[in-house]
Amino acid sequence: MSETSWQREADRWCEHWLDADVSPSDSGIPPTTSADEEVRRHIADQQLVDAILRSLANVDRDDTSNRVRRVMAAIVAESPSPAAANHRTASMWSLVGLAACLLVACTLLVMKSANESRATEILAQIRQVSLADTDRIYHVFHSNSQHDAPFEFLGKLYLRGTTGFVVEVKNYAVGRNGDEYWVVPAKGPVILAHDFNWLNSPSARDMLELELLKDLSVTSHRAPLMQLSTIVEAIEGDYDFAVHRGAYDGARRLDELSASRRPANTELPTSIRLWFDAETKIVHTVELTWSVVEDKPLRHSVRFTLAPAENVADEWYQHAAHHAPDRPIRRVDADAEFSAPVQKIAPLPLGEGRVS
Amino acid sequence: MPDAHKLFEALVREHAEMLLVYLRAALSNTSDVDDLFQETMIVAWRRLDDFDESRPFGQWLRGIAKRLVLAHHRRQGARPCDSVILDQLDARIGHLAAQPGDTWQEKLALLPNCIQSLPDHFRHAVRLRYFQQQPIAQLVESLEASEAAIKKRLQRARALILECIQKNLNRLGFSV
Repeated sequence: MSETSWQREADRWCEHWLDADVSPSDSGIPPTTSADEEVRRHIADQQLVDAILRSLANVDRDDTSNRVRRVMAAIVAESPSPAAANHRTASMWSLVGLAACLLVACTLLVMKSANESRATEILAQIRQVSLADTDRIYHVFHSNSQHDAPFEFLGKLYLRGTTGFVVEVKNYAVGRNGDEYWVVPAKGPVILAHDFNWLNSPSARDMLELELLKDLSVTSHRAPLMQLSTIVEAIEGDYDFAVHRGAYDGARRLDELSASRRPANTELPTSIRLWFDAETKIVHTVELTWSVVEDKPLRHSVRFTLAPAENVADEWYQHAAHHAPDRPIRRVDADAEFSAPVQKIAPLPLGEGRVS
Repeated sequence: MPDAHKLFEALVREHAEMLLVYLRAALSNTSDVDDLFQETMIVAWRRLDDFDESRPFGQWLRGIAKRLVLAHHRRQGARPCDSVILDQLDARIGHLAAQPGDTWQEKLALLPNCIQSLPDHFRHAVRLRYFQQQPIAQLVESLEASEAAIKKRLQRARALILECIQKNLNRLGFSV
């Protein structure tokens, strides 16, 4: 059957069965008799999109709840023996872990996993998810005080896998567009650098008043800690870690990965905690904590919390989206000028950035 | 230990929307959808001990639903439906179910953008047909086009929506 003829047959079927006003069972049109699997797969695709569109147009949670209630009423009416029910309960506990369903684990709360290889496997899965070029937005909070002090909202972090990020706080924006890092400070030129090391210079950070970078810049061989993949890499290399089973929050089960830094690399956070969806491995919260004085209840912490998804245009990861078009731009050659005092960068005419 | 019924109810709630899409795609009659939804879940409850925990629960549910749908079609002789069609539906829905997201709606988060990106005359037809639930006869009047042209637009729009979903998921490293 030629492509044209199979398409014609599939289209004819859709006309009569999918897009007919009358009930298909009354239409008198016979079911397709095509032996061509291509026709039937095409029909299946049309049926699927039709069903998805109908579902999207009729999102009625009460309707679904009523269906679930009817199902459960029928099941309860069957009244299985207690032994059978208990056996099913045991079977379902493993399903609960698999399916990340709700309600139940509220009574269990945190169950510690002592299995190191399991933790390593989970970390690898988190890394895999973090590498995907999916846009995720996190709210950034900061706390610089005693333990249990409240966190203050600082701004937003936009992440796109390993290729892009944007940190937008009240007086500046920092980002990476895949090729280069950029900073849009409140005043002065936009700074571009191929190497994040330049921004890691204490004098540069002070000049640009990039307070957050003081926390999130790490040693020269790493990208900054605002990228989840970098955090995972740090945990793999420099931390002891374990995974703890979490509780359902009404929609999902969030497990926790807690990591304690080994003594060697003191620039990294003392501890890192990740809360991630047990099923999808999407990270919902990251908390990086630096103990100001070891063994004292003083610390500062940065926390990222997953925000509702937004459509993020490719352009958002470019510096031009974060400042006025006439803003001066200063490209810094990292190799040549990294060691030079940042203050020696020629002052340029100041312009106000569009940093919200 | 929490009640087995409550545990199962949580599973039913989590997979309800996905299963409803599968059944709506396979069945033309709304009351059949309701009946087979209930029947699928009851069979799943009875056969829970047979579930292979290494496989996704949703896929297992669709396997049960497939057998029930085929039996239903044998009895009714209605809408075209066979193993090839149901396997294709199962594969497509399986990939969608594997997308990030905690609910079926979240997994289909890119769908509104795909609808939005349709050419105007396709998007308009989709909006009237699905979101305003107009019969074809009314679309003929609203859009001042022949019935055949309206149906062709809807078919093409559905094909473009699926293409859009595939393209986006391929970009993200998934396939549908």
